[in-house]
Amino acid sequence: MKYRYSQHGSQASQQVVKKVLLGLSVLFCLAFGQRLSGDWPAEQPVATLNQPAAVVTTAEAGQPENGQFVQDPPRRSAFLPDFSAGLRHSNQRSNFFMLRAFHDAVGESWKSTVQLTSGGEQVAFGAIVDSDGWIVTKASELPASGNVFCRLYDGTEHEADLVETLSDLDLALLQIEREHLPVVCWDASAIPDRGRWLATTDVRAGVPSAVGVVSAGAQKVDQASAVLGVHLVDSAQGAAVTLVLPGSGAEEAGLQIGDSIYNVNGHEVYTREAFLAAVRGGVGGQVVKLSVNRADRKFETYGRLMDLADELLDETEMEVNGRISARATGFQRVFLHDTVLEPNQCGGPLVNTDGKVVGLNIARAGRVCSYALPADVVQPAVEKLIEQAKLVSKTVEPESNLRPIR
Amino acid sequence: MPLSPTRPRPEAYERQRGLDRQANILWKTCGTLALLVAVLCQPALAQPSGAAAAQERTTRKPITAGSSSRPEGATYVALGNGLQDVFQGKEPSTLEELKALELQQSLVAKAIEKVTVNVQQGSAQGSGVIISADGYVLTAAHVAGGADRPATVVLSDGTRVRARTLGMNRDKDAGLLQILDQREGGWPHATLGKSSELKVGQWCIASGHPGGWKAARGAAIRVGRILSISRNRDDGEAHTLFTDCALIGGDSGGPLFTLEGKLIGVHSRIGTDVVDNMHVPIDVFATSWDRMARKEVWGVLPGFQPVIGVVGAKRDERPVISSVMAGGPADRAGILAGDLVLSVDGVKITTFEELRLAVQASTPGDIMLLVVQRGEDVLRMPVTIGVAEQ
Repeated sequence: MKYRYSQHGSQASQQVVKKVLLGLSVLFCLAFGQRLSGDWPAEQPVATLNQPAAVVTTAEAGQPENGQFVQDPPRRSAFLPDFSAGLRHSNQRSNFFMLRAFHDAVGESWKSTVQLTSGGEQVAFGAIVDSDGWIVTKASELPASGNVFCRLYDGTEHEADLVETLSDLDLALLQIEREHLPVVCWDASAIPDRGRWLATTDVRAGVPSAVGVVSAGAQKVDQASAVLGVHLVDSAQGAAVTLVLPGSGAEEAGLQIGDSIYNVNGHEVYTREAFLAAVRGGVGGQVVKLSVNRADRKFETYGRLMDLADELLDETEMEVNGRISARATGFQRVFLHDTVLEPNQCGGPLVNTDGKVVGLNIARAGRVCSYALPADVVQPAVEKLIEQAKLVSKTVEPESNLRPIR
Repeated sequence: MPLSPTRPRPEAYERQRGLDRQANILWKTCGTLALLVAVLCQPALAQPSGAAAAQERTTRKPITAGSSSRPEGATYVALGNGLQDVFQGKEPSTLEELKALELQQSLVAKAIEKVTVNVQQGSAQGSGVIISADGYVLTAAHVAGGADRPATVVLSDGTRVRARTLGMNRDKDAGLLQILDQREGGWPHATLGKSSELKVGQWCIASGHPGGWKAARGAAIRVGRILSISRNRDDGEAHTLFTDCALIGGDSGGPLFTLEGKLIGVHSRIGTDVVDNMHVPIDVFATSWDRMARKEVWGVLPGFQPVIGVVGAKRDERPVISSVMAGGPADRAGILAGDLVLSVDGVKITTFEELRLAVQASTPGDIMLLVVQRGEDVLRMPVTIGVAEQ
């Protein structure tokens, strides 16, 4: 079934629906569920949010509804199954009651989480790392163009400037014009033991956006080469597509079997080899411009490269693994946890049951695994970044230190 | 309402690429039987290890003893204080309960590391769990592949030991193997639980080797809950546990434990949705034990019917391929209609029926070498066995 709901209130309203479900009879739910899930009154935190007009006019995906923005269709997040699945999964480990159980554990630490949006859609979470408005997030989830807005715990929203990126950690440092912000409380002493709970905090008070446990300790993840997600053969019109990997940049770009790609980023590619050469050296998250010939109709589209691990380069694998971060490999030191995240839920703090931030979600890497940068990696890196950035901003013209993301 | 998985998907597809994955374990429940097992194993241990000894041991059935105060096995962790409600399948309602739950989880996670193994059989990799001091390892049938085959078991510390597959119940995806080497003091092994006592909502802890053996990672831990239990219509015995412990290829055959560290299931298959994860209940291993120990193989793996995608005339005197399914395994291997099959894996065949039987006896992901005659040419064609559409 399809939902239409305001983006920011979506999870909250689903939870309310679920609560209703659990509390009342099945009959009631069947009779009214659809309505409830569709038009749940915006009495959630969403009512307090002021969506800037600019966002409304630039967004293409939805339409204003009660002053709110709607996203259609929603991304289904696996920890909140769609309504029809609500009953059968009422015992899921990440059900509403379980998320609520983390309320006390998370304490006030959720307040240093931010939600980053672009064009009215969430692109990532972020963490406030300095009270003067410095925010760190996952760099490769930020859009290549367009403004990024930063929603805070108090419901306010600020335009964010990209100040610096660290490509080896895939971190970006953003700045917003705010002071006296609550800063994340790092616990860099040790990575929690396997089996310990972790909460991915949200800008909504009370409940985290997802929970999971530590699956494995610190390790290195080798860099995989970036791919578009197509199989190609040479043809008269260019490199002809014989397979589009589900969930890949190629699918996102709308490529279909039979299409011929004849130009990548301005370089003509008439063979499979030429295409591979043009993509080689790209990085996960990078967007490439593609010229495509479909049944003699020519058009241009954009595809995002993903650095997919070898074992994912398979239709079945991509299907069962779900949505994966475009940049999900090439980390010197991460730990593994089993929280089910969407790629756009990465970039924010990962909190233990003492309310301390033990890491930063850096990638959704597959069905069973999300990666987090440990606090002992993020904290020193971020401190250094901020120090440099502050130094630079005092001595150099502001424009000169703004850099393109990619 | 039983949870109907969306397209149950055997995880062994990776075999086709020679990647690692899957395996699991199983065992029989019954609580504690350590003493009995230990006693039974003594004679076997005294013998030189080898096929004869293994054969001897396989006839013994590690069985339960009565319930003593502390269950036998290395993975049992007494339930922490204040966890009774949570153990029965409730969400923790206070911070104390949440912390008690996570402490319990971390203790079990640590305890099950030593009994979770990686199983390598042929081109496939999966997981498994050691369930007795003399080295019985439960796994999934699709990981074990076939009976009486050599296999390698990789322990949590990276040690590789030789093993031999025993029998398998393919209907339920239960498989058994045994480590051939002995170890002083016996192998660390799991405490056995009973799947018949499980309730929907109960917490469980899964481990395994997703994606195959990775030295820097070891077994990966996941925590979830039992979402539903599917039972046979006739006797009411559970045949599949569904949990939201997310699994992926390589996990197959790995163990599922309760909060007390008792083994209750072995990972088997998944659906597309991340909450569709299926496990073989431990009781299935108990009821299949005698036959599996005798190296019997029976049943058909659900969604695991091997095919190569060719059609031929059953009554034809010669095994001539009359048509090839486009995009099927034979097609990808380059086999054409009109090819005459001379041999399969080195064994000469003379009818299409023999080819059919050879394929049926194989496991998806295996590579089968067909020698075919095309006109004047004799060609060697390795075909990767595929899975029949359901």
